[in-house]
Amino acid sequence: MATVDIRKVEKSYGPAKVLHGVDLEIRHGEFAVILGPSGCGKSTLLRMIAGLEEITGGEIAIDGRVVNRLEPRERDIAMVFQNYALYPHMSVAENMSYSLRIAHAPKQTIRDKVAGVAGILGIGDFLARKPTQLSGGQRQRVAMGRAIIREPKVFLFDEPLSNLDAKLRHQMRTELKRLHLRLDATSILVTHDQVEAMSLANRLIVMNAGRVEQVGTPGEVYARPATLFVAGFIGSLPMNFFKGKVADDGRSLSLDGGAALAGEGAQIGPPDREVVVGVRPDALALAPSTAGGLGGRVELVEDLGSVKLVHLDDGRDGFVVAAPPDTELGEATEHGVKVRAKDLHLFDAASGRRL
Amino acid sequence: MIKRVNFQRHKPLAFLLLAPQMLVLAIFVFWPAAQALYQAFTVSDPFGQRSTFVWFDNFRDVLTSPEYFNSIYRTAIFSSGTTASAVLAGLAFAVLVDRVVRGKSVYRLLVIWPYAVAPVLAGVLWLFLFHPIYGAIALMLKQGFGVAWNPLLDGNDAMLLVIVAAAWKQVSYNFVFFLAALQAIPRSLIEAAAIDGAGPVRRFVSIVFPLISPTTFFLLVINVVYAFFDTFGIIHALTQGGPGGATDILVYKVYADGFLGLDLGLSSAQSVILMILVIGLTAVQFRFLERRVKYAQ
Amino acid sequence: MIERTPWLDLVCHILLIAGVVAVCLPLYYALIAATHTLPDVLQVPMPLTPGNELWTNLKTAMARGDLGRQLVNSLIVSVGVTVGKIALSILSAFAITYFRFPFRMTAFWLIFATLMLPIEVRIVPTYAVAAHPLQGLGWLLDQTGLRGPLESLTGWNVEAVVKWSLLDSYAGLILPLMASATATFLFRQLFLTIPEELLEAAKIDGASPMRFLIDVLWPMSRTNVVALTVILFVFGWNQYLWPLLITTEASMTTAVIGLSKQISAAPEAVPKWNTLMAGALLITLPPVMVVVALQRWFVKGLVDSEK
Repeated sequence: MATVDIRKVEKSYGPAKVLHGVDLEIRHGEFAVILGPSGCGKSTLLRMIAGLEEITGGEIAIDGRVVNRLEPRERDIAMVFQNYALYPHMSVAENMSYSLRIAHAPKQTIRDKVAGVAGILGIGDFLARKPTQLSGGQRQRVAMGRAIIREPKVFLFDEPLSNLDAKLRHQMRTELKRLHLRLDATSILVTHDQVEAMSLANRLIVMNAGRVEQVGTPGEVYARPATLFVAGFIGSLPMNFFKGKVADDGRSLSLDGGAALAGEGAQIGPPDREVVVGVRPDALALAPSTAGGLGGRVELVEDLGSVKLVHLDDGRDGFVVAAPPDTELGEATEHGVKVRAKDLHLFDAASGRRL
Repeated sequence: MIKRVNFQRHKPLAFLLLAPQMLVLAIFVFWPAAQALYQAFTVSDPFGQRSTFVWFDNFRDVLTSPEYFNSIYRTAIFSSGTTASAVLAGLAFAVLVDRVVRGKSVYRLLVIWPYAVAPVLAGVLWLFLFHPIYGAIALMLKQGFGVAWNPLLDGNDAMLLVIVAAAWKQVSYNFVFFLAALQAIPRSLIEAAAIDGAGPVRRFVSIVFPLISPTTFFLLVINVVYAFFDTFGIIHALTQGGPGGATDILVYKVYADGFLGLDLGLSSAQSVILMILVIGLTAVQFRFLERRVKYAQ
Repeated sequence: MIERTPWLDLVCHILLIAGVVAVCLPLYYALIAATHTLPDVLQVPMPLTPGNELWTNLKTAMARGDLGRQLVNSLIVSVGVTVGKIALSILSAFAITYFRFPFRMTAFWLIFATLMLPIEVRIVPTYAVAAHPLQGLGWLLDQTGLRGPLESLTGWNVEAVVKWSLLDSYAGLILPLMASATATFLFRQLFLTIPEELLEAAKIDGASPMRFLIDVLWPMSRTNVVALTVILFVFGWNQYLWPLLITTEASMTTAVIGLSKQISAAPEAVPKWNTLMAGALLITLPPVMVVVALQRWFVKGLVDSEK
């Protein structure tokens, strides 16, 4: 299959710049997922790869060939749209075979390919139906079938699962992953859903405000978020942030508001630096209240069954602790928390970069 | 408005696609309209060989001629009479059809069909009913009420005849729009009013009518445009502007002065006046359309 | 029903029946007249029930003044105008919504401006153009001094070309009525509601602009095309002013004009009402049948074309 190289790609609409020089290398066979909040430029980037948007600056190459000036059909790509974009007046078979018919493929070839792809996706029974007669999940499969049938070098997915309900989304996610392995294709998927992103990606690309924030495996990105933005964006429970300062010896932290965190002997950051400390709720454990330690008064408790989310009021912004489900707490009681030094994420207060 | 993604690499094709329409427009619309504008400021000799530029003389002649003022007056009567009766009848039919349960589709069909009748034939059908000698309605008027009815001689009778014929054809149009507007009113509103104790008549006055007033205004404009421009056939076939200029509406006069009177300058000046009138009416229509869009949001 | 109001319902039905009778009265009288002999029709009072002369009257009507030929003409004109308007407006709407090119907005406003120039207000010069549509070309050649060189170079007789006329021809009946701002805007409106992603999908599938128009836009416009066809067919069939001017021969005019000329031909003599009405019924039948049979489409077309 193919590689996709994105070099210093920029995009402006008139004076408004939406992409500020993006550099990415997507390797053959990779499932690359671009994750970011809406308006971060991720869809624009994908549409530029597809050839649906002009490239303002920089270069995109597919399989080593610069495609900046090529029409979408000359790029050997296929795309699955968020709303599927099925032709409403064509049957499922006609929808899937449209590109082959445009290319004047022999009738027998078309029939065989449609049957083959329909078999893979399990939509063989609806080939004669119109898209309006299908459920959301079935439409999704047809949209994928339309992409697969062309055997492209690169598959592009633009939020393909976001129009499905939660249960179906989970099912289609695993199917998408299985399909990727089976087709041994290079895939690029754009989403704002981090669970979807984490579960599908070999490589996760986090974008914000027209820039790439971090590239890595989902595990790397979760364990070592490169910026404050990534730290806040990744993880199903939002990370707690505290402003503070590293002590002169670099071995302890004093948080705004008086609490102190010790580094357990090891160096935890550059000495005498203004920082933002991030701690995931599940890295915190409730403990008896101690003077000078991190803690607060119980404000409210969310019982999610598998975990209890305890909101503590520390007199500042407050923070959340993920406690075991059997935790019993008195109303408005004071609690302290324990945290291990290795679970602290330190970011430079000025630049937001990881320290 | 244009599609975000478009075929911007196919510019020549775009011109090719537009060419047929533009060609027809240029030859049969813009060129003649420009000629009308030019001729409105010139006087031709009787053989049409030479023309002299005379500035606003033609307009002065038009606007000072008693015939033209008569024509304006007749147009005002004709269009207000036609509009009022067609809109009212359309509204009445729509309200009644919307209300009844049984026979709805039959009633609807019987009201709609006159739309398909050519204006001239509408005129002929009504002339037959109103004919002074053997028209059924004319006879009834004469024998029942002692009215000596004769649209061929009496100007008022002729005006009434053309109004009836013109309005009859337009009722179906108004009916369709009013019925659509009535059916678009949420039933919950009517039900709420009924629970508040409003009876059917009260509900119509205080709830239904205000809600369909945008449609009413729109139809008033459309009907005036219809009465001004689309009724030529009725006048031409029934009265030829007569008797004695009693039904000589503006559009008919442009035709009569140009083709029968062969006074191009005078006819063109009238054309230009009419164009200004249409521009005004179109502007009103679009102002309204903007408003209607807002209502829809 | 919100409440039970049997009396009000009854009043509604009575009013509706009275109204419908009034609306249908002219048709009923035409039908009666068309089924009697002329002396019967001219009786005072006229018979109130249909007679049995319909067939004879229809035959006489068809024989008089070339009505059969004129009905065919009407069909050709209304089909021509309908097909022409739809083709021209769909192509223009496609160009102004899906292409970016210089003068796009100019084209849009030019089409819009024709709303303000109905044929009734520019009737005399339009007639002059139709009489000699290429006269402007001759004038242009004269002004630029190209006529002489062109004639000697190509051997064409420019004078003959310039004198070409549309009077008494199908082209003359149809062409000037073929431009349509309303239909263009209708299709533009429709295209704007078609999701952007369909074009993107088609582009990725490799469709050229014309394939996209034929394979995607045209099938998706089908209901609007049907609705518009009903309206335009009626419009074309019932044309009056233009065919009246552009045709002089009975064999080239439309049925509507032919019949109205029979009425005004002899104003002093008593018109042959029975055959006239038979003719009127024949002429009215096609458009009425179209509207009645395609009622749903007709209503849609009417409402759509005013948006």
